Amino acid sequence: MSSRIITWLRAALLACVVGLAGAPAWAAGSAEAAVAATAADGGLIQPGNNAEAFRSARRGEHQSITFAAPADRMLIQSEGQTWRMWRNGPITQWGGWLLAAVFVALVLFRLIRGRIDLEGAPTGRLIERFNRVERTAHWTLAVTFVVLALSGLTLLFGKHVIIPLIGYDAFSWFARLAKNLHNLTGPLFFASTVVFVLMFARDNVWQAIDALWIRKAGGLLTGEHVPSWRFNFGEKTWFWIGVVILGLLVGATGLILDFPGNGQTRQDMQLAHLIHAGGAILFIALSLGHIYIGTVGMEGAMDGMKSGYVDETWAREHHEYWYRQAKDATPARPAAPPRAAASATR
Amino acid sequence: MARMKFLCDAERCIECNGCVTACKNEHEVPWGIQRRRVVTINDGVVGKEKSLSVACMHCTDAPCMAVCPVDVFYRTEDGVVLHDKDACIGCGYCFYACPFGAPQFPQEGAFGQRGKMDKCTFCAGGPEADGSDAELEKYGRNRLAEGKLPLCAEMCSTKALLAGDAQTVSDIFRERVVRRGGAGAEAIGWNTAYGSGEQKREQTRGGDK
Amino acid sequence: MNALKWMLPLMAAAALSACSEQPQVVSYEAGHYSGKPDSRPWESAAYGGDKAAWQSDMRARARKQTEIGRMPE
Repeated sequence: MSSRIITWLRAALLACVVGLAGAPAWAAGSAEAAVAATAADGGLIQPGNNAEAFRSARRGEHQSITFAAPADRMLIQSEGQTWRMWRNGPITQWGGWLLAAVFVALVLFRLIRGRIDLEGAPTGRLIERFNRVERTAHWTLAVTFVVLALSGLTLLFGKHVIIPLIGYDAFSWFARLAKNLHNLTGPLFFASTVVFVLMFARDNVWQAIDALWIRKAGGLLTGEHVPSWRFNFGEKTWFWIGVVILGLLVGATGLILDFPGNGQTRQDMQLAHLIHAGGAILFIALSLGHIYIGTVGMEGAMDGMKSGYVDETWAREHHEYWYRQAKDATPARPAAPPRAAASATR
Repeated sequence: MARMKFLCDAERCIECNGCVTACKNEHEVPWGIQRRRVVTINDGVVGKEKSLSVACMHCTDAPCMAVCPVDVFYRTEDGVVLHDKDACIGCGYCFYACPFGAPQFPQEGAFGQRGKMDKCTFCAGGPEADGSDAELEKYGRNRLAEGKLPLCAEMCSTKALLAGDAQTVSDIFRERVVRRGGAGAEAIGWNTAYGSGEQKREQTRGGDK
Repeated sequence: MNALKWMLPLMAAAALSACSEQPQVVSYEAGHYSGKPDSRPWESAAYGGDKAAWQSDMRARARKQTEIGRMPE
């Protein structure tokens, strides 16, 4: 691995040196070579040198085919190699490291910082944080996301992680399930992302108090509670970078891959796949943080999405401005639904 | 005997597409699948037109094998790249990676429903029992097990397409190149197929400029 | 909670195990492969495992592809 990096660096350095010192000479040289190649057609000046013939063959110009095979008019499809190097190289390797690093970071965070508990005692009075429609939108997105993430990771890493564990035949069955789940769930994920973005964009715009959250790094390490409106800057980052940019990008490229035969070429699909896989890895890495803080990382965070109601203490500590506003707008409900009350006081 | 290879002689291929047809017929391939194709370069440009027959080239570092998420590909001891259709999930990654457009899919449906990948097997079948009906149905005929070479090459009318052990194939090609330009045996090819009158003179003129 | 404490490092180790992977080129050893095993061409009914006979037949067959020597010079 390190030797390859060194080779790359060396190549980059060489390219810089050649580029700086020999740019004009090189340009003139290549123009000359092109002229020579045209005149000689790869044969007369340098007999037996077929390099230009192969270069032109790989460019795929002036190639045709009589029998219908629209995607394969060309002799050699060089882009496939680029796609392979990216997919098997950085996306698999760096992507794998990134996910592992985020996971380890979360474990360390949990061990050092522990769970983020409520400081005050729960009041038992509940405030509505997410209504039924919002929760449905969130959980549709969440369930499709998890299905897609797990099946996608299976297709990317399964060959190396799962085949040694469960064997070739069982994995093939498993991978077929993963591929079909992935392809069938994908469009639903895209649609629910669009709905979700429209639904939550208004509360995720920049608000002045977010500067305080950035200055104090959310109080994640100090344990200080930073006031915010309905969503703090951490949630907004996840919303805009995660759901909006990566979600829509991964969803749209996924649609290109999921419905072949609608005019997209093989090269379009290769590019779409690289963006899809790379974006998805980043998306999954970010989602680990979101899932952590929403479940085991913070006391009471799950209640808002589970029952729709949060305890007043939780609201005051984590979203103070929103708490004041929401309390004035709708009087707190003393008689809460029993299930919600149980989970809030747990 | 180490390595099976295809070699197509661009000086001889006359784009008759006989290899394509022979392959389709021999292996009873499904409708829409074309394991072999003939690509023409500079079609219609006198003196510069060349055709080549391409199929799976049975690469040593096969890209399909490297990207397959379920590892269905394997290389035989003779260097033939084969695959196990039972385990294929139809993801299409081999189709993205292959430089020669060899992997083919019977469908191109919504939600990525492609069916099982099909490609040239060098007439060596697949993992099913040699010569069995299951093998014929999934992968086509296993000519190698019968002591025969791929049909596309064996029936090539101008002997442009050669197949077999790399050593033998390159020996044949070397003998041919040494004699190229001569008469007699070298007569098969362009001039036999299309005549050598006006066209030949134009070729020479085109080459002189 | 206690179970969580010893499970987390275990899960981390499991997640990390993927990272030691080298480039995903299958290291293929002749005749060995994780998938369905295939018989070799000379193990067919026609040859019954006689590799030498199969090889010489293949060579002879390949030589038939050249017309040199078959035509008058």
